[in-house]
Amino acid sequence: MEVATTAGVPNGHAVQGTARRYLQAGRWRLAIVLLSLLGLFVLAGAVAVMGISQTGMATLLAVVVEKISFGLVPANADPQQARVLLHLRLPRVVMAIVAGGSLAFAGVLMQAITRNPLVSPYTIGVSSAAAFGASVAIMFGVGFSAAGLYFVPLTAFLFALGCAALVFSMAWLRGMGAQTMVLTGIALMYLFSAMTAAVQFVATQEQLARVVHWTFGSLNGIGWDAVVVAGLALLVALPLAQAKAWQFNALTSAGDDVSRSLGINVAMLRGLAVVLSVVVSAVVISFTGVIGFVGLIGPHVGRLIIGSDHRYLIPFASICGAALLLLADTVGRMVFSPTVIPVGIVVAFVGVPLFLHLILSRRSEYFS
Amino acid sequence: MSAHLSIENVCFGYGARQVLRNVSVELKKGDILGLIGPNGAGKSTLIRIVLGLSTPSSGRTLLDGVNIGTMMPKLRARRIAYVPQSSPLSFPATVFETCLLGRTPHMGSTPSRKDLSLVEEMLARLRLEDFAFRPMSELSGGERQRVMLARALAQETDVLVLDEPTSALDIGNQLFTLRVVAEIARERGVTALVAIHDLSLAARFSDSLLLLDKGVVVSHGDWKSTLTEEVVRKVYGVDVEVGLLRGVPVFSPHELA
Repeated sequence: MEVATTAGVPNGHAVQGTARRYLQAGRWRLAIVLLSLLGLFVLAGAVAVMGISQTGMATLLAVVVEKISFGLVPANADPQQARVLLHLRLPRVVMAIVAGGSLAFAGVLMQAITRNPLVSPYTIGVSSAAAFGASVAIMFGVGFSAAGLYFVPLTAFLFALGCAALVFSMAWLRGMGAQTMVLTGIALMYLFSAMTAAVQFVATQEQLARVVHWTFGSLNGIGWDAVVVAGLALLVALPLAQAKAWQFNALTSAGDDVSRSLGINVAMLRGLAVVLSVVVSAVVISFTGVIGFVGLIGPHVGRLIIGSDHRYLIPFASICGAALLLLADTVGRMVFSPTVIPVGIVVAFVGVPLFLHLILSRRSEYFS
Repeated sequence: MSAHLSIENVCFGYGARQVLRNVSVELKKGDILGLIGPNGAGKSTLIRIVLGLSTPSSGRTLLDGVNIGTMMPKLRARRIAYVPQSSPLSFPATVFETCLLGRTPHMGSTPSRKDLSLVEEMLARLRLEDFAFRPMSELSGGERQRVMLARALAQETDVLVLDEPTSALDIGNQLFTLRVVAEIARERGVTALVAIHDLSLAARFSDSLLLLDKGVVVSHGDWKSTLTEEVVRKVYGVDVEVGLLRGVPVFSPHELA
């Protein structure tokens, strides 16, 4: 056997610098995440008071402080203003953040486990299944159920879970491969869309209007109950996914076999990601109706700005999704005020130009 | 010296089709075994079994006497590293990030300074430090192959499994890649299993060769006894001339037999 030396290659720790540069890049990314989180809070405050006369962020802050201190720190605000802020505006703003964050979060996870940049809660069938569930509930159930107010979201949620369970079991039968998951999801998306269309076909005018309105996706009439449920789901899911961030890195950039040879249980990781992303996105969609696009674009905007390291990408893409939906809802509220355009419609108008701008101006290797 | 890595009577089949039949071989510590044979001979399957990615239908693979199939995945990953033939390019990742993944079985959720300096060392060793922060998609095939080797070396295992590491490379990169493997094997006592098509390179860089055909071991031993002109004609259906050029074995294919 031949053993010659690869001449000119230094051994040992001769080179300093690449490791330091990697660490520096990490600190930058962390700073971007934290700053953008701060920015999101400021943005939320600013849009929450928009359109309410003589109300500034100071009033908002005072009202919130009064509420969470149980009245110990009085706000001295106009009670009418306080009511509007606390019960109309704030739940809407917080839900925009939670919904946008959840959908982008779900998109990051789904794209990671399928290694497919075209996947989102929408393409994997979850949204269509929820829409079908909601249509069925609107057609046959409202007013008869003990669940009352929650009948539509509950049915939507159950159908979304059912769809995910189908995708999951198909993938399980075929060894949890990425392609099976994507193809099954797309097939089910078409199936549920067809079934929703069938329901619409037999619906009365009034039912049809409600079904169609539901599929627009809107934050109208969102209350704190929805915010709490969806917010809790996201707060539980985020740290669970964050703990596996490094494994998502391996899965996306090294593939199944190498990931397994690195000691990662790929089937378990896929299973966890499916459960987290489906539950989180299904909860949101059940309350808001179908909001597409954020789940697809949030991860890409995040990746274009901060890179593919999931330790930063998971929180940052969620923040991007949240900001995008919040902006879109604000635009939808303001442009034809007092008419409110459903956020599901506006989000594409706001998001597509932003996205195209990023594609054109950012790193060319991203879409190679 | 007792065997470091041993493959004992391994059989494997997809349904009724037997891909491997009673394959047995033993490697001492620091040995390089060249795994050769025509397409479909069962080389990749054998590699998957050694990595613990596939379970043999009978027989077993042992590392220092411990069954590889029953090792905990993380512990197995600290002992056996894998260099695949190619790597997916789904989302942009830099060379440094890709190489750092080799530290996965040794770290928690985030790399330590030791992990980082090891990666730095491996990048330097494979002449990749200038590319460290380039995205993988901008690299040539040869550079990408070196990153995957660097990743496997950063894993600090005592076994290295390479699946056709040189098949997509120019002759310069072929030589460079195999020399690094040979150096690592010698310096650190790393045992290597290399599936390789090029018979000249296989003979030149391996301590011993294992020739598979249709899932069966045809011959095993040093290159002179394993790859006689007669065996090559029988297995590959090609007339070759075997010679030594400046001490380096050369297989020159002439005509289909």
